[in-house]
Amino acid sequence: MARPVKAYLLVMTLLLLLPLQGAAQRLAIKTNVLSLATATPNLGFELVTGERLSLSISAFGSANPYWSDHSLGEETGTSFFAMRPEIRYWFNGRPLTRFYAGVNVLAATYDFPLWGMLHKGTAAGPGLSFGYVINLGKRLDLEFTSGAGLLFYWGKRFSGDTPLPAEDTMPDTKGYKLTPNQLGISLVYIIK
Amino acid sequence: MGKVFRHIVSVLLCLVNLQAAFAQDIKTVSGVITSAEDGSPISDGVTVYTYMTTAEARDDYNRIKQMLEENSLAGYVFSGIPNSTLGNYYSVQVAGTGALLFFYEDARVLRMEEVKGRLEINVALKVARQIQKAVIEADNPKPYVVLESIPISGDNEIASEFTFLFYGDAAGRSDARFAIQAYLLGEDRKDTLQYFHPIVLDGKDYHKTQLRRKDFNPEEDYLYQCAEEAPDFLSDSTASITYPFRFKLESRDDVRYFCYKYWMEDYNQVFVQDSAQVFSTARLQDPMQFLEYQFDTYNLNPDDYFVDAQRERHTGKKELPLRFMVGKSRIDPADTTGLRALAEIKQEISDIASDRDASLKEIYISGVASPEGNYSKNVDLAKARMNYLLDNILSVLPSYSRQRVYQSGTSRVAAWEEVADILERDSLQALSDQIREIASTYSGKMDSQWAHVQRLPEYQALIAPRLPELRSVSCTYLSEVYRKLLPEEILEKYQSDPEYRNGKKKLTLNEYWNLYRMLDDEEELEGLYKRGITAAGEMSYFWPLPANNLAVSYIRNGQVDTTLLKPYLHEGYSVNRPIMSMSDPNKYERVWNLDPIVANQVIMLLNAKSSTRAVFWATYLKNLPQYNTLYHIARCLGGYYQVNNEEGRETFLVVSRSSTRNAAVMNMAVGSWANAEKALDALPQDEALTQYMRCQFLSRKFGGGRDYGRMQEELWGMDEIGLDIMVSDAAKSFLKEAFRLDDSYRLTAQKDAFLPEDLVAEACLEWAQELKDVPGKEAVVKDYLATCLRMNRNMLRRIQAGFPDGIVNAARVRMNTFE
Amino acid sequence: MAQESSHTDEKEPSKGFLALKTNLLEWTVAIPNVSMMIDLSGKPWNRSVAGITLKYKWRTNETYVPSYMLNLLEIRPEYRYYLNNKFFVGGYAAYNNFAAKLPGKSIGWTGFTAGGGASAGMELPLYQYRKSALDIEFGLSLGAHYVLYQDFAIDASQTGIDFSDTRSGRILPYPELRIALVWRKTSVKGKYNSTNPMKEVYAREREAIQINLDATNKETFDAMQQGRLKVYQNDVFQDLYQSDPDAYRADFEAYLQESFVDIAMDNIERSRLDERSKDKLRKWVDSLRNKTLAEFDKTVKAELRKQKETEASADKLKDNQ
Repeated sequence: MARPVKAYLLVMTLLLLLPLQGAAQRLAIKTNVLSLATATPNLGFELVTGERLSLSISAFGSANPYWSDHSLGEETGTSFFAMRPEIRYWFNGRPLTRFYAGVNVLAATYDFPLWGMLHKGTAAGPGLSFGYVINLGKRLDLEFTSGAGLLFYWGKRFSGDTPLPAEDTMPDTKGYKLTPNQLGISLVYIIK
Repeated sequence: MGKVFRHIVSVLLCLVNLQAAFAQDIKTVSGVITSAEDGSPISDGVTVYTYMTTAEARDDYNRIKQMLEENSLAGYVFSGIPNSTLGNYYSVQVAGTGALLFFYEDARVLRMEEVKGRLEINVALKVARQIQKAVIEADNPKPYVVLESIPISGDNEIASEFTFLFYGDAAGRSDARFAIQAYLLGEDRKDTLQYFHPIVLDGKDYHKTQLRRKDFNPEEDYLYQCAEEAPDFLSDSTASITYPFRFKLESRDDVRYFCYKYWMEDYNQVFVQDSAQVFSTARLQDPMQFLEYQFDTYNLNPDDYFVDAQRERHTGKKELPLRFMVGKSRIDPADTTGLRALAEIKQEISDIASDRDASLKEIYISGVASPEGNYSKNVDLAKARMNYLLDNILSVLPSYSRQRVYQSGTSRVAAWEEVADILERDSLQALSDQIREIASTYSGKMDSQWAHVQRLPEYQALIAPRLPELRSVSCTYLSEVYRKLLPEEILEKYQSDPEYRNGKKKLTLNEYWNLYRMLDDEEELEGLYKRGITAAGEMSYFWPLPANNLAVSYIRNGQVDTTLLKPYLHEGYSVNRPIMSMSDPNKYERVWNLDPIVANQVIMLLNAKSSTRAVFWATYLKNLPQYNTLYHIARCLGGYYQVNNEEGRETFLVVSRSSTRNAAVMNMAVGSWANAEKALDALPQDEALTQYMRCQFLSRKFGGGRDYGRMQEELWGMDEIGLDIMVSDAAKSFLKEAFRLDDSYRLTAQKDAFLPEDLVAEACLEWAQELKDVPGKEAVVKDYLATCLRMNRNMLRRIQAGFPDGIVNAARVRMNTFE
Repeated sequence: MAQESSHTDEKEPSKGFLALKTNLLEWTVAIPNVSMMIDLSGKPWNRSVAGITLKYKWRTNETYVPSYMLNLLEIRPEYRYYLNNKFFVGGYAAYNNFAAKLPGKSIGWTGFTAGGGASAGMELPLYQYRKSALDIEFGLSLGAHYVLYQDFAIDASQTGIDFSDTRSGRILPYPELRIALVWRKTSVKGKYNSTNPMKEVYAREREAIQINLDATNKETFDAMQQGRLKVYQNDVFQDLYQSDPDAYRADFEAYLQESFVDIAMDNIERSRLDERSKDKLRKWVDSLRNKTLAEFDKTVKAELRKQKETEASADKLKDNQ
């Protein structure tokens, strides 16, 4: 992974630890079941920061999941790691309940083959998300989320011969997309 | 060596005192009672019950707590000894291993504190406080409140409940909160006199999601705690909630407005809120208003309480606020208050001396000196002063007597910790802490302490002026009286010697007993009764005769004093319960709850309109046939006449058979209209009361012409449209007849909530119209018009049409004064 | 949830005449969209709403053209009518500029569509805040669009697009599914359930006039049907009729005027309707009057004839004797 990305990820991990400082604030931990079904382990924290605001940070990634496409060679597979901090605004008046809309930033590194093309690189971009949370119990929620956003990416792509050439010789690609970047059904557990 | 010895002795003395304390185990425990919400003092209405063991206290606590939760209207019986508070400060005697129960009846708060050897226990009671919410306007249809009728028991206590219905925009939701609080407004409708405990109903989701909010602490949120007490969650199937309440009026004529306010909010905003008045105490329903009864008074047999001439020991105690000259043991001649007190006590002693039959036995003087200055000098000075005082006081005695008086003068120098206490009391905490520190640093070295305190910068300004408070002298003396005279001699002595008559010379109990038999004049006897009570008290002698006689006298005069007989009543014991004397198995130390005393107390409580307490004491007389009528009348006035249980039936029968009027009253109270009508027919028809009761009868039976169902049953065959007019016309004519016979029934009708307001208004207007042209009745006409307007303001037009402006305006003025 | 219809002519013009809306389903597929709706009239009983929607997913800049794309720019004005608080129906027209390509296929399409259709849906209140409210709308639009498009393909270097020259046109069905959040100053709850109170007043006035007329007529025709050409139960008029039918008719006309027309006109004048409705009612009263008179004439003529026949046959009998 590129160095600036490593630094970024380190910063985000530290930010993950921040929520544990708050005293009377609500902290929840969550995991996206839908992602888990696609063999993408993921974990998120959510911290209630105001009457109608909460801060959510989630991380997810995968390395050679079962649906990896190895058509371009055995050593190619799918792997990616992403983080998404998000600020959520809860419409209904209570945090972690019912409708919300959020603004987030997605940052990721990726490496996967798609439609006969190998893509590798880094991506980041802002996005909007919205969702609905059902209170299952005093401390348990079920969250449905969805969202779209801009994704700026820069990296390499290659199609064609195996064996793969060295990375430096692969053609560069960059640009930005407007795409959905989130879909999930999560279980949320309020820790304190 | 001497110092060490003194130290050892003082330590041993302390141990001895400690030992004595444990042997006795009774301590004086004191403290202050405040409100938990804001720390303000609760100075009225709290009773402190003492218990020797915590087990007893806990039993009572659990039992009374249960009664409070069930809103039981029965009296609260504690087995501990009750003590009242002095303002918000209390001081009681209780065992170090015992417990205290604090009962604040008006706010229905009960609190238990185990003593555990503490000497000071301050309590903060959780009293219902006002709940607030920033409210937003909402113009939605308001739900209404259903209130059953509000009968007032003989107690001036109003207890009932109202029902709040949920519908429309105030329908329940699982994500909303409903909060309602009732409060009591005073006569001017501005001051809020009392807040009742609020009821808060949270929807399930609302309650749950509260915990998700930032910085929400459920323990500290008053509304959350109230919501936890609610029986159920708010939901869209919640139909209604009942709000019970009870409060006391000082007198029947107090005007109070009972109101409520509520709001409902969801996560975002308050979406409906309202406040309204439920009822005002200006109009009440008192079913026992016209009950007639006459009570006998009950006397103790004087022969049972004969006191033979005996040696009687009297204790006298006096505080002497003396100011001594600095450094000397003589009293400052400018101290007029002190000298006067001294003169008084010298006079008392001299009286004893000059009384042939009395002799001074013992005299104790104890003094406390303030700690400034050299310690040993202070000790010597204090001692010298006490001796001087003793000499001074006893100088009035002839030497013969003086030699036979046991004298004891003790003195001590106050410790600097006591000065710190005074400073703390005056909120000078920092200074107080400083002095305590000095005292503990140099403990035992009094002079060093003094040196350091003196150096404090605030000494002159803040400490020195407070030192005189520590200086005190108190004098206690024991005198003995022995006189044996024949009754005639007693009477003669009483009539001839003014000092006996005015109380300067102490009479023996035997003399009092004889005088009670021989004298007739009521006023004189009352004075003697009071002196007799005091005399027996000084001797700690159980003698209920004067107290009972005084109570009887009061009842006959119509005076009310419910504390008079309290020392002879104990709730935990049955009637006529003797307590054996420790020393002599044949003698009673005292007898609690003598039946004539209980009976007189019941009568006194009824006269004081405390019918709940009256019923409570009346139950002690239940099985004594001579008090049957009293027992049942008391139960009646307390509201226990409903025929759905056997006892109520008995009460009903006894009381309704006691007189025709009572038959009418009781039958109306339980709804036996046929019997009530028969009784009303049997009463003299030319009396205003009968006419008024007939009007009340029609109003109560037919709901003032609105109970169509009943009217149709009774008067079937009549045209429905005319029914209500017919009934209310009949009621009106009865009321007017009552007015004709006696104007005072106007006020009665005004305050009687059994009569519909329209009915009273119409009757008053019609009567005023009839009186209009009668000469000399102008003032009366204005009164009737004023009542008419108070009942129904919309009558103004009709009044203006029928009467000249002058009268109308006078009536309006009168309406606004609270009669 | 059903609410009675309320007469709200005392209410102020509604504050929530403007609504902002966004379709969440389209956001799920990353098509930003926003929509605005305005009430067509400020009156409280207004139920018509006009709206315009803008959707824009633009072509993003990438080194290599992606193998799938869905770019569009759509402008869609619409009209809707609320049947009650919850349900609405309406129609829309749309212009759509698009470029679409599926990942598997090598050919994509780009061009524009234009068309229109019908829509229907349901709007439910969601949250109420102090000064605004949020509602949720479920809707479906279905229409037919005329599509004019040309094919395109990604060129060999995969960095550019080749367009074909031929354009083709088709008509395609065009559905749109909506789950939208709607924001207004006031909630939709209770907003669209009023009716114009004047309509009811008008209907009531008409009904009253009709009842009045029927009562008048009933008296008159009852009397006639009993064979007595008496209106006021007065023999004078019988004679009058027999001697001077024209005067009798004049009497009836005067009676009709007095007991029906004048009263009706007076009531119309005093009603709360606007001038136009009042004129309509006046014209109607006149027509009723004329109709009644015509019927009267017919009945009288028939009676006359009958009488003449009776007289003639009586005369005949006399003659025969």
